[in-house]
Amino acid sequence: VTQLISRNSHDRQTLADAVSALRDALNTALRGKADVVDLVIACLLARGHLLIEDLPGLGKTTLAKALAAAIGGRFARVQCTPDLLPGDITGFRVFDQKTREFEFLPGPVFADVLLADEINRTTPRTQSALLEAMAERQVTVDNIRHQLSDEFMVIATQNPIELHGTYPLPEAQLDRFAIKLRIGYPPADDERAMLESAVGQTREASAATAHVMPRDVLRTMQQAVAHVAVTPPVRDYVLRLAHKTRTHPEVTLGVSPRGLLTWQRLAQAWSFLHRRDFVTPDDVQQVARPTLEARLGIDPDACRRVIESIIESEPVPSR
Amino acid sequence: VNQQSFFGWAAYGQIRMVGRSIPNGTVIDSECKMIDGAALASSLSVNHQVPIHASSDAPSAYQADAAVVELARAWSGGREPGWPQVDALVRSLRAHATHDRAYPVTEECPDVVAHFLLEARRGPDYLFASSAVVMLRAIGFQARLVSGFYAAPDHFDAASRHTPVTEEDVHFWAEVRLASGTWVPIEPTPGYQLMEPALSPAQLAIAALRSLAAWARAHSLQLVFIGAFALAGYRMRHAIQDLLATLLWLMSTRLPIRRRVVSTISLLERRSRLAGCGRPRSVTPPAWCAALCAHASESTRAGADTLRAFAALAEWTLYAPSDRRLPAILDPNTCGLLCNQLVRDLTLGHFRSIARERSSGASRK
Repeated sequence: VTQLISRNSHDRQTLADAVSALRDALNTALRGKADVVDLVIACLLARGHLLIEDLPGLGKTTLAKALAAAIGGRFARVQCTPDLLPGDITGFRVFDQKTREFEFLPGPVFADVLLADEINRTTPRTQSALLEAMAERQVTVDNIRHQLSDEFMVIATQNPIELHGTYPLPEAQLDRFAIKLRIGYPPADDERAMLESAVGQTREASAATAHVMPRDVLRTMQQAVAHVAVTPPVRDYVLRLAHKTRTHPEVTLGVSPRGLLTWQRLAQAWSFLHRRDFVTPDDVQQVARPTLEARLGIDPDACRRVIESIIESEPVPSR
Repeated sequence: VNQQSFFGWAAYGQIRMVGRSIPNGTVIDSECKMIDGAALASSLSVNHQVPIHASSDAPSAYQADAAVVELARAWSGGREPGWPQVDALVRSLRAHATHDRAYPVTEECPDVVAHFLLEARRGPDYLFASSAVVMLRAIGFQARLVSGFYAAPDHFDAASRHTPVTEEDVHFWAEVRLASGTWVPIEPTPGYQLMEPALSPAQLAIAALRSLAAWARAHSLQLVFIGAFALAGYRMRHAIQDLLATLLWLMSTRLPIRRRVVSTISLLERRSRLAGCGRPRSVTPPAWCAALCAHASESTRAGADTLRAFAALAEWTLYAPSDRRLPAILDPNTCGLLCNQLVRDLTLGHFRSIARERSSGASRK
């Protein structure tokens, strides 16, 4: 990691400062949710996609916009409805009368941060349009492959209450999200501060977030995260936990190998966020819940309990 | 042995094998009645009719020495008439002389019994048996000398349920006749025992308890000392274990820093387990150490920073690849001091106070 950092001419302090600035920016946009912000940053550094399941008005869009602004990327939003078509996301080819040729009009998927709002309200066909984009950071339209941004990240939301007329995300889609989060209501003090700061400000001004993380710094950090060391005992610990998710009587679908890779990468990112260049079982545990909640086949009400019981039943490597 | 012609009469009521000898290795199953000595003694008292036949027709050919008679009266004196007198006399005789199979007895001796009892006080078993018979007759009991084989209990073969006997087991003892006509064996030779009646499991248990109680009474002082020592050891067992573990840890001070840290973690975990607040197996040692900061009391408040630093050191020790260098904030000398400081601060007593704090917190909930 040290060599990688020096090769990219960013020293440790620069990266640490950038992380702090990003954390501050997101904490300003989303008050009182430091734990959520840390997980979002870990997801960004792990090059994962984020699924937020929560009620309207809790700051999902604000968070996505702030993240896009903080990393200086393009932000696009898609409001998912039953009549949304795959082309509305990926883009489509139109016939140009002047040039007498088909021209490709890129869709919102070509942004750096894509907010797919209420993703479970659109049809499986449209949901599947995101599969290739999320897994391979590319889309294929009319047999022509289009490369997406290196920093491409999907932040999808879904409402856990109004399930009438929705299309639950298929397992293949869920497995492509790195983590699933719930934001929840902020503490009263933070809500009070939010109200105070909103007085006298226009809506646009209050939503503005500074560009605090240059793209090359973000890329360096993402590469550094990939090089965070995972020793064999910790790797075996992750494997044992994964095996338990596959054999647990209440779990119908355990962690896939792809999910395992995502879990390890998130643990690496969490370790990097805490200024370490090696993963500990604590890192694995810290990201276990959001990682597993996104992909375990389990009753949502029992999810947290089962994940905690799996973690508590597995001894950590301690020698 | 079922041929009538093999046998003849030795005396009235006694048969003997005529003109034949029993080949070696012949198995003889014997059936005998046994009399419970304790029951015999307890069933007799002054108010009861004495069942032991007091003989008045002792052989007149042999007149016991007056001193022997006096000795017999002394040994049986002060006892209730009957079995208690017999028992007292036999016990006294067993204690009076020493069994010596090889002790020579000269033919010139006019009264071997008197010589044995009054002078030599040692001799073979037949002298004990003869003395018992003479003395019992002297105080009026009908007694006789008996010879045969002694089935030594330590020669009993449990597999075949037989006791092999040889010439070495030829033995003499005596019998006393009850009023009912039953001859009751007595064993006057020290080192030999009469077979006791078979006891029921309950009787065996009671007998064992009695013997245990008797042994305990005899060794009461030692038992009190051992009991107090064991109780103190039990109450201090955790402290003793901790002391041993700490001594073992002291040997690790010269080891490389990683092994020293692991040794320190092991010692702290052992102390916490002994105190009843061990590290949960799903919690890593670094996280566990960091959580201990919350329980740092006023006296060890300064140790909170030490704990956090040690948690970072434990993370590096346990989970960093071997080629990773020590975190910049820690140098090897600091690490050693850190380990020493924690072992001094986080004593068994400190963990016990944490355990008490937790249990009182749980009870409040």
